[in-house]
Amino acid sequence: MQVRSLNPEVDGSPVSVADRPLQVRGRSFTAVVLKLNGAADAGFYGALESLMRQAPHFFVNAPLVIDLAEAPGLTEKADFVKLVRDMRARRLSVIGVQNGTADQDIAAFGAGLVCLQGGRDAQVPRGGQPSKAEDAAEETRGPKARAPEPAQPEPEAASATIVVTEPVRSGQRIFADRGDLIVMAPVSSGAELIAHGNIHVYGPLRGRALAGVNGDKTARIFVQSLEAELVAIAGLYQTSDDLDPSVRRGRVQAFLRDDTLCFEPLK
Amino acid sequence: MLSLFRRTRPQGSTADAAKERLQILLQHERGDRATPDCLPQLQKEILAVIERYMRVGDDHVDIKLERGDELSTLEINIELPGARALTTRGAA
Amino acid sequence: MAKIIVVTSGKGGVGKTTSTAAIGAGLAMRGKKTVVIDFDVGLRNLDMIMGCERRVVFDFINVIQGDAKLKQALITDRRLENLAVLPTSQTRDKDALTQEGVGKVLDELRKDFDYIICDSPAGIERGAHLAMYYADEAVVVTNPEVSSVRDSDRVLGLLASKTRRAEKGDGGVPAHLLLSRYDPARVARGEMMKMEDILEILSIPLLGIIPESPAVLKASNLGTPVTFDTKSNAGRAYEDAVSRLIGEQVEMKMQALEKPGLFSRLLRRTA
Repeated sequence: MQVRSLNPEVDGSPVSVADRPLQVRGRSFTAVVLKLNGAADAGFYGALESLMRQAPHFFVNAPLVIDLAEAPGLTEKADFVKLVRDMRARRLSVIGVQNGTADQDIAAFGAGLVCLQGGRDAQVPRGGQPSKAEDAAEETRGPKARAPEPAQPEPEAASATIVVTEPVRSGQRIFADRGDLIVMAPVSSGAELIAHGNIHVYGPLRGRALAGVNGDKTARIFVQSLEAELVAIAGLYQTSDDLDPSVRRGRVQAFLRDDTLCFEPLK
Repeated sequence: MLSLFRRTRPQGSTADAAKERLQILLQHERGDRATPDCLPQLQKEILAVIERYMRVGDDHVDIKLERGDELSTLEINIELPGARALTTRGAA
Repeated sequence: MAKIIVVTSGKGGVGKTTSTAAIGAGLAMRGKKTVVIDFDVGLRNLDMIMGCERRVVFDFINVIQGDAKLKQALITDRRLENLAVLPTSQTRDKDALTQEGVGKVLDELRKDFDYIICDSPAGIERGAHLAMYYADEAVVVTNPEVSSVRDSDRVLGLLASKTRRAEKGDGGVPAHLLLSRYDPARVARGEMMKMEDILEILSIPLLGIIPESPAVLKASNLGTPVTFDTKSNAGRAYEDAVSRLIGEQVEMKMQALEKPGLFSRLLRRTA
C-alpha cells in the first residue's frame, strides 16, 4: 500500500545550544484531573481502583492533578504527603492541585505539589474508557450502541493529511491519526478507513469509514459512491441496512447535526 | 502434433481412470514403507555403503520411483567419476 | 530472467491447482522452460492434476530441509520435457516451509527456468503467504460468486502489502484476474455476476475467462493439464490466458459472446 503522509513530524526542530547552559521553552501538556469528593479514604481508593481495572492504560504515565473543590477536609501537609504516596503506590503521578483554598494550596506546596490555576477542563470519556482512537473504532463494531466519546486530542497534534492512491482492499485498515484521509481509489467491502479528521473517497466506498474518531463532531465524510457497510462520525454510526436508499450509490456527504448522522447528496 | 500430448489410456471412461489412479496412490500412501519420508534416509544409507568402496558426491545420485498397480520400481542411478554410470535396479 | 508467478485466490475450490497446471503446461507448450510448485504442504494435489503422482520421490520440503537436492525432487513431465513439477510433502505440516528455505529454492530454480509457477494453498496463512512472498506477478483466480470475490480482494490487499516487492517499495505484486467457472448462460439469465461487475469491484486487469466446462473434470481425472485438451473451450481459454501472460494481445473472446445461444451451441459441441 502506498501511503504518503504529507506532514510527517511535529516538534522536530533541534536547536543548537552548544554554548548555552540552559534554554527555556514553553510547552503545554495534557493532564488528567481527578476530582476528590470528600476524603481520600478507602471508598475513594476502592472507586479509583475499579476505574483503573476498567481502563488500565488510561492513567499510564499521565500527570495527575487533584481537584480540591469538593474536598475541604484536606488541609494539612501530611494529608497531601500521604495522598501522593498512596497514589504513587498505585503507579499514579500526582503533580499538583487545583481549586483549593489558600490554606490547602500552602499545604500542597509544602508537600511538593504545584498549585495550578486557569486550565480548562477537557472532555473526559464517560465510563473511563481508554482514549485510543482504535479502541473507539473497535467499539463501533459492537451491537447498536453509542461508542464512548474519546478524550480531546492533544493540543499540540498538528493536522497531517494522508493521501492513498491505491485501492484499499478487504482486511486493510488505513488510519489517519492526526488529520484527514483522502482515498483516490475504490475502498472494498471489508476495508476500514479511520481518521481523526474528515474522510474523502474519490471512488466507491464499499467498506467502513469512521471520521472524527477522536470525538470531533465537525468531521465529515465525502464519497463519490456511497455503498458503505458502515459510516461513523465521532462514534455515531449507521450501517448499510440503515442507509436511506435515496443516497445509496450517490455522491454524498455525511455529517452530524444535533448528534444525528445526516446524509446529503452532493450537488 | 498435439495428439502427442494425449495419454494413451485403456478404453474406458475418465472417471474409471481417476478411480484407478487414486486406488494405486492411496494404497501406497496408507501402508507403504517406502513413503517419501524414509527415502532421504535410504539414500543416505546407500551412499554410506557405496562410499566405503568408492568416492561419490551426493550430487551424482538420482532416485526414481514409479508406482504401479502390481509392481513399483525404485531406480537409483549413481554417477561414478571416470566410470560408466552404475545402475542399481530393484523392486520396492 | 526467470519470472515467479503465484496462482492464488484466498478461497478454496475455485481452481487454483487446475489453473497452475494449465498455465504451466501452456507456457511449456510455448517453449518456455517452466516449473510448477505445490505450496499446499500436507495436502499434495498438484502432482495428481499434473499426472505425476506415482513418480514422487522427494519433495519441496525435503529440499528445504537439505534431505534432497533440488534436481532429485524435480519431476520432469513425460509429455513436455521443458515442464517440471516440484511436489510438496503429504506428511509434513506447513511449519516446514520457511521464508529463507523457500527463497533459496526459488533462487536456484531461477537459474534453470523461464517461469516458476507457485500454486498457493487456500487461505491466507503461512503457505499462502510464502507462495506469494517472492512473486513477480500474481494470477488471482476468482469465481463469479460473492465470497470468492471478497476473498480475492483480501488477497489483492496482501499482494500489495505483505510481499517482498511491497517491502522493497516496488508497489506490491502486480495481479491479473483469472475468472473461472464462468457460465455465460447463467450470466445472461441474471443468475451469475457479470464479468464487468467483478472487474469493477476488484479493479485489476483481466487475464482470462475460463468457462465452466466438463473438460476440467475430465482433465483432472486423467492427470493431464486441461491446456492439452486443445479442443475444449476451457483449454483454449487457458491458452489465450497464457498468451496474455507472456505479453501478447489476444482478444477476449467471451466478451464478444454476448448471445447465450451461440455459446451454449459451442458448449454442446465440445462437451
